[in-house]
Amino acid sequence: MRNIRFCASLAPPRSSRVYLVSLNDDAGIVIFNRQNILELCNFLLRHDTGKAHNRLVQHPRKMSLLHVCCTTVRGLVKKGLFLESTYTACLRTAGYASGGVAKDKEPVKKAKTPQGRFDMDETESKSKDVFERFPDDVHPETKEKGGPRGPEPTRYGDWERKGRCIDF
Amino acid sequence: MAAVCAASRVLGRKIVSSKALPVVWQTSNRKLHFSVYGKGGDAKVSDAISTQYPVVDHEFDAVVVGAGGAGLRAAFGLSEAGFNTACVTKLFPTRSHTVAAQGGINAALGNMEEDDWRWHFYDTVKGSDWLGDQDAIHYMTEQAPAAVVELENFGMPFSRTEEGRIYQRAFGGQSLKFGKGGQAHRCCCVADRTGHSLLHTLYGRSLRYDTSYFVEYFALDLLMEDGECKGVIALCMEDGSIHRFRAKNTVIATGGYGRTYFSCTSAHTSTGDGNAMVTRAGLPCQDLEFVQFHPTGIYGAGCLITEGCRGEGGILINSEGERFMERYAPNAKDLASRDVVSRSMTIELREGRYNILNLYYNINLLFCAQNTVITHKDGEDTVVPGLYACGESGCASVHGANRLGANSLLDLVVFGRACALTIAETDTPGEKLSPLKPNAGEASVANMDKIRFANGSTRTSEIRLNIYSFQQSIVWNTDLVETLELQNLMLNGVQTIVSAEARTESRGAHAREDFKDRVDEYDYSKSLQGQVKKPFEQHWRKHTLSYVDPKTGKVTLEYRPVIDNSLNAEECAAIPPAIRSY
Repeated sequence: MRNIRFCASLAPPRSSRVYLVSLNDDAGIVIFNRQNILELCNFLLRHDTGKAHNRLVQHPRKMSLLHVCCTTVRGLVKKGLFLESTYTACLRTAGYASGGVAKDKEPVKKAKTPQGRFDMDETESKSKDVFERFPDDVHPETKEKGGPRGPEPTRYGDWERKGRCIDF
Repeated sequence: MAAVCAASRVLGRKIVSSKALPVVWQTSNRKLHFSVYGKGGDAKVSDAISTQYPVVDHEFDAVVVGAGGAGLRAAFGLSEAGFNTACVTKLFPTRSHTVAAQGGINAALGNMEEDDWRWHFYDTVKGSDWLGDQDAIHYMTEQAPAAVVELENFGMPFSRTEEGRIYQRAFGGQSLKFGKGGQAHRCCCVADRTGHSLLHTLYGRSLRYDTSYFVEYFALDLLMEDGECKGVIALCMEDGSIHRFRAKNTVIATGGYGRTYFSCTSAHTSTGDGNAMVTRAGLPCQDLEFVQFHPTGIYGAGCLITEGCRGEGGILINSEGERFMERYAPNAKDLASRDVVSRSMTIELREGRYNILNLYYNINLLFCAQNTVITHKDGEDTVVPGLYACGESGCASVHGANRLGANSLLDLVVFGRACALTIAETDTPGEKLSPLKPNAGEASVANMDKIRFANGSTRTSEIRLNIYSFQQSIVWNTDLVETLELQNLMLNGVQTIVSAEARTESRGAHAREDFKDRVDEYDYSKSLQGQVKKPFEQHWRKHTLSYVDPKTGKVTLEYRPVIDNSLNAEECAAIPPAIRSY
């Protein structure tokens, strides 16, 4: 399988499938069922001739369809990388239910960023408005309805908002 | 999946060639992701320019480039008049830079006190430092109340007085009774988001009409033939196809070029594309040296601090902790006028007493740049048939040497509408288009092709091949678009620099230390009696027209006189020049 230029491995949650995306001239998406991966790897290693070949391998109905397209061109990625990735993918799927039955316990959460200044509580996430609304949106002195809140923006001759000059 | 397929196909071919050969693929393989809206969906695909770049030809009555305030107003104004209009924009309409404007629109509605548009006219002429064309200013200020009322009828939620009329507030440079009656209240706002609201109102209104929007199409060049503008050629960023929009009328409303400066308040997309297109077509741009700066800005951050900070007790300190204004203006100190402060800061900067990290306020923020012009001069003004411009990229020279706050949004709507009206007067919808050479736009495509492959051709390392081949894809190649924008910025920049260097005076936003005074045909600080009028070549009350030769980068300058008469002398007398002081 030297001829597959390996790109990424995806192991979706609650699935026993591993998708290996490779970019060849004819892009192939290689889909493996976890249970067959090792088998496939052995098979591929044994048949590593470096020559072009097209194979369509159909697996018995119970398992997912194994569809392998591989064509030649130049080998770019070493075998090792390919196998390493499949191994990682395998591990990932091993964590999922075997035999294709999805257990939906806790959904997989994205790891939270380390505690820092960007980490905020859910309740705080709503941005605080610096300026308070006027009652009925009417400015008490100028009686302007629907105007900008806070101090008068044009009081310094430019359009000032929160200390910054936006227009002048 | 499609993208992966496309990319891999590119990859495959690229591996084969190691020279800078463009990728060859059959046209039939590529699915073009556009659909033609509006009437007359007869877009034809041809390979008249090149087999590598299939070109889609569209025919319209009018094309508007840019969908900011001015572009939208022109586009739906034209649609309303019955023209089959296309609006080509590199951004979604509501993302244009107009959305950032917070201040309001000036109009002499007279809701707060008695007001007259002639006083607004006077203020604008004075604000432009007598470099503005008074006929254009007459037009704009006279139309202002009608324009604002029209916007309000479109649904723009202006803030209101108790009686329900539009609330107007005071803003810089507006006075009553020709400067003698104190501060005028003319600025109509929508809370603090006038530009945002304006753009959304115009966009919403434009959806009523069947303007065809071509969003995320980067306009490459004008299609000029025999000195006439016959349309625009654009690159679809989504799928990389080239489109030629043939139209009898082209309106440029592409905005300014703030991004030529490192520290600016403009959006990243303000790259002066329209100005550059016009320059490459061999037409001049006018008064590009007038760029507005603000003295109290934060270097690099691109935000400005209100000048009120000085009025409220803020002190300007250089890197040595010294209150440097005392040396330049011993009496006023930090409260000296803006240009004095700016000049002092420049000197401090030059002498090395600055510290950028320490919030040193720097005079380097651009606010609004100026202008292209559509008139071709041969000793006289002549019009380039088929080409119009409005908004920040268009220059009727309403702002002259200095743009007053709240006049720019007004400029957009008034002249956007004016473009539509002029086209409606001079043209009729459904007219047959004059023939265009089949390979029109070839040069633009060649240029784009050159840029696209400029970097990748010598790469042989196989790891990098992946990255660069991806970058050289024409689909969603934002790198390519950024490079095209950079080309445009450079054209704008070089014209600004050369024009500014040539103008040996200080007028409005153009201030020079070596030439501190305004140089007019007379010296207006003294009585005119007994003065000899300086010839045209010796004074500076004139517009600069700059041309660039795109191959050599050489800038040539010409000059054009300021229009000093208003549209109608009885309705509105022209304002003779005077010294500008507030």
